[in-house]
Amino acid sequence: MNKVININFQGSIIPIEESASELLRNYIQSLRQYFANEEGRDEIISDIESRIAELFLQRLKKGNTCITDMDMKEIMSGIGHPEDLHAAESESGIGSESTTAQQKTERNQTNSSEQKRLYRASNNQLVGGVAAGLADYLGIDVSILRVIMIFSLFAGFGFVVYLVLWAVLPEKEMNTFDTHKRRLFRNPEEKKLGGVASGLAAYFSIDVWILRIIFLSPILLFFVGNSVNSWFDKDITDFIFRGFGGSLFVIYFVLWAVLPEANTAAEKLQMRGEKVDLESIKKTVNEEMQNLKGRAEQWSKDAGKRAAEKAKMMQSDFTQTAKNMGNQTNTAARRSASGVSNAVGILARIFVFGIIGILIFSLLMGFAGLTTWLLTGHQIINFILVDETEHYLLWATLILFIGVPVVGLLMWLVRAVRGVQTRNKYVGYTFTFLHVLGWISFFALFSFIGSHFHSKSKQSSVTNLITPSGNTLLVVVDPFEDEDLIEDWRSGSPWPKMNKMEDSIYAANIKVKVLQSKDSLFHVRVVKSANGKTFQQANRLAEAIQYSLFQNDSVLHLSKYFSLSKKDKFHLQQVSVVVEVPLGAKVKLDRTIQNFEWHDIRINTGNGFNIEHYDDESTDWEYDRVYQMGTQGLSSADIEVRDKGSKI
Amino acid sequence: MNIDNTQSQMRKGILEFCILSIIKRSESYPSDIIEEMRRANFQILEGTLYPLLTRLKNAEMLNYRWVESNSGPPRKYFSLTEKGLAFYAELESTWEELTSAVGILTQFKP
Repeated sequence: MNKVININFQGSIIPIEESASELLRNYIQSLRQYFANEEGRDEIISDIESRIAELFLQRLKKGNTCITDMDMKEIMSGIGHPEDLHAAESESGIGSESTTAQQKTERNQTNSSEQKRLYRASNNQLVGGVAAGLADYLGIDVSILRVIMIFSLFAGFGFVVYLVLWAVLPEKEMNTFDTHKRRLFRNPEEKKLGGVASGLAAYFSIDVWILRIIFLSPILLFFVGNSVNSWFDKDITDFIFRGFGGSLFVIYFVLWAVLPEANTAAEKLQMRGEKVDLESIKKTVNEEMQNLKGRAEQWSKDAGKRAAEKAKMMQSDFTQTAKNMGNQTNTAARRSASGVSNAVGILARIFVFGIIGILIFSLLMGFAGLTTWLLTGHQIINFILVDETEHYLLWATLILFIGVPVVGLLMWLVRAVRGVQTRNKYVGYTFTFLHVLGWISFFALFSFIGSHFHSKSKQSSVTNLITPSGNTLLVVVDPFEDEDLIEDWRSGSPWPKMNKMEDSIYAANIKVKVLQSKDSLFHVRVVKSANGKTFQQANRLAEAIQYSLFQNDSVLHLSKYFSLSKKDKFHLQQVSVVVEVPLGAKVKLDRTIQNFEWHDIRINTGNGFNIEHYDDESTDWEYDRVYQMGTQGLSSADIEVRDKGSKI
Repeated sequence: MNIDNTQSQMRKGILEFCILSIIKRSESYPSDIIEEMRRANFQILEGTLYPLLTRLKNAEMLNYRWVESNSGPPRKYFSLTEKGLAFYAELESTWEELTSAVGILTQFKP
């Protein structure tokens, strides 16, 4: 005799057999899933529940002592199981939507009137339901996504992506009662180790031996590799074995851990991608019973017997199995989600909001820092910007382009934390409008500054040098005498420096080149160049560059900086010192030349800037080495250090 | 051609019309609707009726009010709204056109 319990159902106390109450619960659950995407789901469910309660009470009034399994089954078939409803719905075409076969399938995933959106699954989650949500959205099996996610966790970024999706995506109950999609399972009937290979084979409809060979290939490769090692580079076999083989092992074990076993008839059908309905389940069950002989080749006798038993059991009660299928998959997912992962979930959520908070906070701090820096140490800006308009544009860019989004984000965070829902749409419009203005001023500023560099002018002057003693010239850069007098705007940068009197600017944008002299004398050529809006301006700016050098017997002294007038602004003033060495003579470039901070800005029309710190042709020599000029250019004249490979 | 499919296509088009006409005649409770349709030999599952009623209600074709019941939880009694009446009138005229057309065509003798 079945145990009878009292349940409170829709406001009435109902005496019901325990097994019948289980049926009831599963039935409601399956309806809930069936109507998951229906707009008035809760209402429909509660209507149906009221009706069930009414039918219960009618039966009890008639003199029944309690609700039995029999009663429950009658009631369920009166109202209809999800499969029946599905069939009836396509048959009698409830509602205004036309129900072509295609739309039916779509209805399973999304409400046809609603656009497809990405959600987290609230009912099929191991951690946050992100994988199930994505799988639903992309229409692929959740297990595949779980595997991809586990791998991307190793790559590092996956963790962040997961947490962000977790925090951002809204939660929604997914329709796990899905009869069409093929799912990945492990196949317990055909397993050698974990049933992964045969499950995959069933999923992709290929022969299982192909997958077994793939999974075994690392071991095969190991033996083959060892014997072929003599022919091939060892690195190659190592690479194949470690990289490819290793990841195959990992894949196998990850799949083993992630994939559920196909235990019920319905799951076995899903594994092969056959549509799950009563007919096909009946077919499979019959097949299992009748074709045992045929299948015996594949299945061990034991497994076959088990399947037959299972089939028998299923056939007696297979309707119920099918009806509860939705729940079974669901509970299977729940089973694996333990209390531990819940705790992990809460921790991770705190972590995500923490990260977003820190991110916004640091953006804000960065913005504040940038603003104060520009307000206090703004010489550098004065140095780049040439007129009032550009200054206005800079501030507009700063406030509207950077500041507005930062403030917006901050407001969003405050809202999110305090849970405020109401939102004035005009605030959004205003922010967007201001931000668009910010974009405009950003591009305007960009193109204004770009126009400073429109034309380029080069002016060169040649000085003849006295032939040094030993026919060897040493090139050095002298330290600047009044280094204290100048302020470093940003240490270690190519940015020019300014003296404390703030009347002139020092820049180290200098490079040294060595070329062959056309005659038998040493020369030094100083090429001063500058850009400007017009060629005339560029010319004037190049002329204004002050650069000094002098020769002291065999030493050529170069200044560390050239100076410009402050009002000349930054127009990519450069100095190139070309030392011309006659054939056969020697030259040595001192390490101090490294103090120069050469940089170049290439302007691609319309595409912006490209800052380069090194010139392509400038470094075919090393410092502190004696080179001799030959017809092919410089060659090392150091006898002691011959090995070219020993670079510093 | 599948006869079941054709039949279901035919039923599909008129189900809403039938339900609305039952409700139009008198305020009805879902079980009444099922019962009435059963008597007319038009069988449907209760489980398909509830979502249909909810959709029609959400589309403002139907209204309902709660009525206390002595045999269980309170019941929802549905009635037509103005919009529902207009919708029904349109369906009705379409139905009449169809039946007369079908009548002429099927009885047509050359």
